[in-house]
Amino acid sequence: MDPLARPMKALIVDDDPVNRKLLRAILKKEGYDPVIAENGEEAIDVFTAEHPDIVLMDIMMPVMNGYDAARRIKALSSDKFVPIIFLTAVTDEEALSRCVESGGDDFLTKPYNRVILKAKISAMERIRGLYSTLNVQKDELERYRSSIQHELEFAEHIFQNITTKGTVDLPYLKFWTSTMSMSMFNGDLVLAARKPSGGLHLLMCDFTGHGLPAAVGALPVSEVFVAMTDRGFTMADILSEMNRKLRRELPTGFFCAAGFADIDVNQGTLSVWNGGLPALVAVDKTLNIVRRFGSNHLPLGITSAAIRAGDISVMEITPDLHLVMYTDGLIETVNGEGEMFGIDRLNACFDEAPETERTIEFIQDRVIAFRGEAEQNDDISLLQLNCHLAQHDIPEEVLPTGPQGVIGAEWRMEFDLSARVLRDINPVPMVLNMLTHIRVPDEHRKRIFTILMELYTNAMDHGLLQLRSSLKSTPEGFATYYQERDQRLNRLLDGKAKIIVEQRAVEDGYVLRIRLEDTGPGFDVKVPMGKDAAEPMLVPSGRGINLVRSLCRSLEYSNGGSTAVATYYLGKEQ
Amino acid sequence: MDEAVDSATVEQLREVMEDEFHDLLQTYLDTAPVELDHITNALRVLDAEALAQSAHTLKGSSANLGANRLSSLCRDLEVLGKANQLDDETVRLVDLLVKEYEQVQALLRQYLA
Repeated sequence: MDPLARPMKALIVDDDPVNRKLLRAILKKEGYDPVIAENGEEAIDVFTAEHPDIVLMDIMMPVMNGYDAARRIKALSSDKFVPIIFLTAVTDEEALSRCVESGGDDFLTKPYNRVILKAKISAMERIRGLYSTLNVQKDELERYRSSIQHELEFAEHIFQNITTKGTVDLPYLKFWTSTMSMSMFNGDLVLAARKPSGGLHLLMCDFTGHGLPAAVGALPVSEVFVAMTDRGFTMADILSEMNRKLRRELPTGFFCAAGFADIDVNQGTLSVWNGGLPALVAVDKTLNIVRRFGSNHLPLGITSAAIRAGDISVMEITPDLHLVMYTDGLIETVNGEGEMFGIDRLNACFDEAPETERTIEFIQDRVIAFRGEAEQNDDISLLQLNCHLAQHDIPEEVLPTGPQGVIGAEWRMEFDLSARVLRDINPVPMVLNMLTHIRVPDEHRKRIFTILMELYTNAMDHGLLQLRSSLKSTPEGFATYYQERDQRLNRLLDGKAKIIVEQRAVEDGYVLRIRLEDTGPGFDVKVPMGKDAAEPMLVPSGRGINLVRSLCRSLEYSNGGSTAVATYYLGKEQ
Repeated sequence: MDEAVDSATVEQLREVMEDEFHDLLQTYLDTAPVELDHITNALRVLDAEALAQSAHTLKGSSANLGANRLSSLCRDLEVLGKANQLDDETVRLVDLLVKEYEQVQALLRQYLA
C-alpha cells in the first residue's frame, strides 16, 4: 500500500463483538482504517457514509443477512471495484455459491488467521488496482474520443466557412455532393469565385482522405483561390500557388486531385486544367460531348513544378456550352453486386438525358438508383456549369467599401518590364493592387482591371509575341493560339514592356491615364475598329478593344500600334 | 485437542491484539454466557431456529479464541437446529456444551489474571 495515500478503509460487518474486535485489530496492524457495522442493514448505511475500499462481511446476522447486504453494496458501488470478503465457517458448496451469486469476491473462514487474511487482502488490492487502472484508461479513452469529436466539429466548422467563402450560389452553376459519412465532412470541395473583370473561376477538389487532413488542405486552397481570383491573378498563377502551399503543408502521401475552369468574359473562352480528376466533359445543347478534358497534370501537392499556361486547354464558348465536372467517387460507386457504375454508364447518361439543362440531375438519379441499398464507399461531387450564361453574367457593380472618393492629387507610376520578367510574371494584378492602395475607389477597380488586362494582353500577344488573333476563328485554332502563345512566351529573350499609370487633374475632376508601350514591331491599329477587315495579319481581338473603348473616355494607339494610351475618368475629388 | 483452549491460538491473539488482548477475552467472557443462555432457553421452548442461530454465533467466536472443542459442539448443535431436530441427542450435546464452557472460561480467566 502506498504509505503516502490515505489509509485504506475496511468495513467489518459482524454481529459478534469478539469477531469484530479481532478483525479490527488484525486490519489495523495491516495499516487499514477499520469501520464497523453489526448487521447487514447497518453495513449499507456505514458503506454509504464511509466509502470503504474493502468489505469483510459475516453471513448469518440478524436484521439483514450478509448475502442481501453484499448485493446492495455491489449495486451501490457499480462504478468502482469494492471487494467483498465473506467471513464464514461455512464450507459447503451451496453456501459458497450463494456467496458468489450475491457478489462475494473471496471467503475467510474462522478462526481468523492473520497471514491468510493478509494474503487475501493483498490479492484484492491487486485486483482493485487493475480495476482502477482500467477505469482511468476508460476515462482517458472517453476524454480522447470527445476531444477527437470536438476537433472534427471544429474542422467541420472551418470547412463550412471555406465553402461559404467561395460562394457557389450562382444561377448557372449546379452541383450535387453526397458525403460518405454524415458525421464527418467530405474530402471534396467545390469553390467558385467571380473575377474582377467579370467571368468566373471554378474549382473542384478531391483530397485524399476525409476529416482533418482534408480540412487542413482545404483551408489554404480556398484562401488562395478566393484571394488571388479577387486580385486578378490568372488560373496558372493560382494553381501554382495552391500547388506550392499544398506541397509545403500537406503531409507526404496526401494530395489533392483538382479541376479548374476559367470563364473569360472578354475573350469568350473556357479554359480548363485537370490534375487528377476524371475527364471534364464539355457538352453542347444536344448533349453531344464536344470535348473531354482529361487529366494532363499530377494532382496538387505532389511536385513543386509550377503550372504553366501550356498545361491549360482553351476553347471558345459556344451558345449552350455546358461543362460537367465530377470526382471519381461518382464512377466508382459500387452496387450490391460489387459492380462499379463506371464510365460507360456515365456516357450513356449523356446519350439518354432528356435535356442539357438537367444533365446532372439525370446522372444523380441514375447513380443513386444504381447504388440501391449498397453503402456509399466514397464522397461524390458532381457539377454542371452553363458556360454561356456564365460568360454573360456581368456582376452588379461592387458597392464601394473602402475609402471613398478620389484623392485630390496627381501621381504617376511606371513599370519597366524586361523579357525575363515578362516570361514569368503577369504584372497586372500587382498594378491593380497598388492602385487599391493609392485609394482608387473600389467601384472603378473592376473596369480598370479590364482595361489594364486588355491592353497588356494586346501588347504581349500582338506586340511582343506577334500572334494572329484570326487563329482564334476555329476551335482548333483556339488551342493552337494558346499553345503558340505559351511557346513564344517561353522563348522570349528580347523586348520590353512599359506600363505607366498616372492620375491627372482635368477640368471636371480627375482621370487615370494608362499607357502601355512595347518594343514589338507594332500592328495595324485601324483594323480592330471594324469587323469587316479582310484577314488581318496581327490584330487585337476586336471584342476586347471595343470593350476597352466603351469603358474609357478615350483610347489612342500610336507608334504603329506599339503604344496605347487609355484615359479613364475617375470623378471629382471628395 | 487436549486443552479446552488451544494455547498457541491464544498466544497469537495476544500478539495481534496487544493492549486489547484482555479486552477481547473479557468480551468473549461477557457474550458467550449470553449465547449459552439463548441455547438452553431455545431448547426449553423448542425453538430450533434460535438454537441454530446462537450456536452459530458461539461457534465463530469460540473458534477464533482457540476453544476448538466448544466450537465443534456448537457446529453439531447448529446442524441439529437447522434440521429442526430437538431430541435426546440435542439435550446431550447442550449438556456437554455447558460443561465445556466451564472449562473454557476457567482457562481464559487464567490468561486474564
